[in-house]
Amino acid sequence: MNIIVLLSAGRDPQSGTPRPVPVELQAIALALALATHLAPTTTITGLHAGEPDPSVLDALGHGLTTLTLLRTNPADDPLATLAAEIDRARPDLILAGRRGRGGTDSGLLPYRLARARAMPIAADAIAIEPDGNDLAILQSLPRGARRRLTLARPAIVTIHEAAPPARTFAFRARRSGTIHEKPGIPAPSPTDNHEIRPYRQRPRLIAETTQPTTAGHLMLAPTPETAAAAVLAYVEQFRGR
Amino acid sequence: MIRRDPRAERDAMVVSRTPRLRLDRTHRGGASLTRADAPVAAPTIIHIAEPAFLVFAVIEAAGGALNRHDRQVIGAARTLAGRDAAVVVLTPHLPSQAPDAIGTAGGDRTITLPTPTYDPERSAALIAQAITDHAPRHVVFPESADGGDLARRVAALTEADLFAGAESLTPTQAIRPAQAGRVELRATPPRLISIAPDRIAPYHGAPHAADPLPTPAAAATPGGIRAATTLAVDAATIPLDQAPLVIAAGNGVTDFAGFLDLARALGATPGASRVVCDAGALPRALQVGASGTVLNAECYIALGISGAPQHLQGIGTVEHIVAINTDLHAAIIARAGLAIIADAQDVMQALRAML
Ligand SMILES: Cc1cc2nc3c(=O)[nH]c(=O)nc-3n(C[C@H](O)[C@H](O)[C@H](O)COP(=O)(O)OP(=O)(O)OC[C@H]3O[C@@H](n4cnc5c(N)ncnc54)[C@H](O)[C@@H]3O)c2cc1C
Repeated sequence: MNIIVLLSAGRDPQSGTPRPVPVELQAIALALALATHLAPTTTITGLHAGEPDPSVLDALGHGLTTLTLLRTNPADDPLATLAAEIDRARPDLILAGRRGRGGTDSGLLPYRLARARAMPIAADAIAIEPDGNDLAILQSLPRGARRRLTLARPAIVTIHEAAPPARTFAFRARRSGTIHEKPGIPAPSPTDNHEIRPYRQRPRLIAETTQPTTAGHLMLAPTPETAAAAVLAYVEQFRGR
Repeated sequence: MIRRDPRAERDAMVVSRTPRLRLDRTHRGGASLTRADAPVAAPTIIHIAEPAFLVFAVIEAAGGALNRHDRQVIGAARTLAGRDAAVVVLTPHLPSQAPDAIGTAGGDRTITLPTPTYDPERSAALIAQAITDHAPRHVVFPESADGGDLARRVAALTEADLFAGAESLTPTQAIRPAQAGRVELRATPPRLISIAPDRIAPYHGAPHAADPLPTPAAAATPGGIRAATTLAVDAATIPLDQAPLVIAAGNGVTDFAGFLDLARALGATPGASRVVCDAGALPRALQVGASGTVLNAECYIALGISGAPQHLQGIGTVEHIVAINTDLHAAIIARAGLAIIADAQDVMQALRAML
C-alpha cells in the first residue's frame, strides 16, 4: 500500500517558532502502525508544498523516512501542486491533520484535494484498517462516541487528536531521512481582504442557564413511584445519545 | 415638560373600593396592577414576506432537538440577516413540535434535508443544490465535529472559501483565530461561515414564522463512504466533562453500590459532590464542581445534593437539572427544572425497579 502523509508548516502556539503540527505526527504514527500490520511493501511518504520549513523537515525525526518537497512560494495555493503529485504517485491512502497550526488553520485543503481528485474523504479518524479493497476507519465524535466508516480506496482521511500518540523525536533519523526536492506549480492564491491583528481573547458566552430557563416544576412529597416516573420522563430524551 | 396627573396616579393605585378604599402605594409609577385573570397577550409572530436577501443556517439537530450550538447558529444567521432578510434553516427531519423551536430560535423558513442516515456526501450535495436554487448571501454552519465536516464539504463542492470557526460576528465584520491562535483574521462576512461553540449569542426576540420551503432536488449518486455505523458507548467510560447525562450523589445518599448500579442502568455517567469524595465513598475523579470537574452535560440529576456555590459552578452550563432532596430550601431546588422533595434513597430504588 502506498500512503502519503500531508505535512504543513506548523508554528508553536506560544512562541511562534517552527514546530511540527502534532496531529500530522500522529498521522505518521498511524501510517507506521498500518505498515507493520500489513505486508512490508507499504511505502510512506511525507508531502509538503512550500519551502523547506524546519517544522516540516522535523517530521523525519518522528518516524518518516522519505519526504517529497515541492518548492513553491509559501503564499501560493498548494492545491495544483499537490494534485499533480498525487496523480504521479497514485497513493492508496492520503493522511492529513484535521486542522493546520500556523497558517490559515481552516482545515479546508484536504477537502479541496478530495474534490479535485474525486476521492472520498473522512474526518477525525483515530484508527485505520484495510478492509478487503476498502478502508475501515474509526472516527472520533464528541462526548466519547465513535463511528465506524467504510471508505472506497483511494481515500483522504484526516486524523483527530484522540488518535494514538506520535513517535518521539530522534535526531539521527531526522538527519538520515531522504528528501526529494522538486519544483512545484506556481499558483498565486486569490488575495483575500483579511485584516490581521494580534489575537485577542474574547469571553465565551456564559450559558444563560445559570438561571433556570424554563419555570421549574416542583413535586412536594410524591410517592417514590410517581417521582421515579417523572424523572424518567424528564431524562428520556438525553439517554442513549 | 410632563405634567403629573394626581387623580390618574391615585386611580392606578386602587386595589379595591369595597368594602373600603384600599391603595397600593408601594407600586411606584402609577402603572395599574394587572389582574390575575387578565388575558396574556400571545407573542406576535414575525413574518418576513419579501426578504431583501436570504441567510442559510445549517443545523445538526442531533436526536431531533435543537442544541445550544444550533440555536447559536440560527442566532448568528439572524444577526447577519437583520430585520429585512430571512433566515432559512436547513435541518434534518425533525419531530412535529420542533418547527416551533426553529421559529423561536429565529428562523423564518425551514428546508428539510432528506438524509435519514449519516451520509455527509449526500447532505453536502443537497445543501450545494439549495445554495444554487436560492442564492443566499451567507451560509452559517456550526464548527462542531459533523457540522465542521459538512461545512468543508460544501465549501469544496461550491469552490468557495470557508471562514472557519468565527468567534465574533456582526453584519459588517467576522473574526476568527489563525496561525496557531496567535493572530486573528478580520473580514467582512464572506459567503460560508462556521461559528465556534459558545461565542455568538442565540436569538431572544419575538418568534419568527418558520414556514417550510420545498426540499432541494439533487440526484442521489453513490458516494465513497460505503457504510457507517455509530458504536454504542459505555456511559461509565465517557470522561465526566464530555458526558451528556450525569447523575451525581451527595451527602443525602447512603447506598453507593445501588447508586452506581442505577447510573449503569440509566446510561448516565456517575458524579459526586465533594463531601462524598472526601468521605471516600466514591473516587475523587467523580467530583463535580469548582475543585472537581466542570460539566458540559445536557442533563444533570442531583441526588441529595444541597447545591453549594462551589458545586453549582461545576454545573453552570447545564440546561436541564433534576434535583431530588428532602429540603425544599436547598439552593439546588431553585436551579432545577424538575425538583422533587422526597427521600433520595426511595426514589433511587423506585427508579431502578422501573429500568
Ligand atoms: C474551596 C472549596 C472548594 C469546594 N469545591 C467543591 C467542589 O468542587 N464540588 C463540591 O461538590 N463541593 C465543593 N466544596 C464543598 C461545598 O461547599 C459543599 O460542602 C458540598 O458541595 C456539599 O455537598 P453535598 O451537597 O453533597 O452535602 P450537604 O451540603 O451535606 O447536603 C446534603 C443534602 O442532601 C439532602 N439530604 C439529606 N438526606 C437526604 C435524603 N435521604 N434524601 C434526599 N436528600 C437528602 C439535604 O437536605 C442536603 O440538602 C468546596 C468547598 C470549598 C471550601
